[in-house]
Amino acid sequence: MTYQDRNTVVSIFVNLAVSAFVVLRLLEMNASGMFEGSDAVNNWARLVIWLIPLGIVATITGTILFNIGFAIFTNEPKPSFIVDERDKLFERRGNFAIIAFAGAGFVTAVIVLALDASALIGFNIIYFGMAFGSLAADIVKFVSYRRGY
Amino acid sequence: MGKLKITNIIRRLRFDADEMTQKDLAEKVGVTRQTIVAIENAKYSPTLELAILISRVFDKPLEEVFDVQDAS
Repeated sequence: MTYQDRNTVVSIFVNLAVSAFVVLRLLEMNASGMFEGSDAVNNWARLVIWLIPLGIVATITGTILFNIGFAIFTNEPKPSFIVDERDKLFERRGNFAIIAFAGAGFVTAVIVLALDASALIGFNIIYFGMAFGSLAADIVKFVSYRRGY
Repeated sequence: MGKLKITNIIRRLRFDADEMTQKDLAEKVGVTRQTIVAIENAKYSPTLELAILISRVFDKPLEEVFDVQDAS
């Protein structure tokens, strides 16, 4: 497994974990009435803004643990950290997925808002569009690494 | 003109070069071993820069190491 291949695997798990956490937290907040009234969007934003440092810490921790585990199980004390042209090609492929999903999320949000949905729903559509885009990008890269091209 | 496939004789050249490993070749040209594997299996087409670097490792002209075939 190359360095970027390992990072892709970590990113998939981090994306899934963070998304699951967000969904559970949103359901909890909705059940407790935090999305009723004029503070709904502000409460949503206070949850989402914590995802930035959460995602960073989870990614760093996951990357370190995965690389240590990989080195131990493959008996490779000095795994490669090279990022070459093939890695960059796969990265570009993944970026197309991010753009597609984020764009679709934005357009969907605009349509939904035009149909009188709340701003909270619009923001959630945009957020999950980007989250699914990131996950789709990782899956595209993961498949590319398995195929080899 | 159909899609072109880039083939090569890298595996044979490695064998002739004192059985150079894929890892050794990868280190010489600055890529991962997995990229060398993909190139040898004609699944991945290297950039011109990488193709030239690989050819120089074996001291062969580019057109001797790589060839182009019509994939269809």
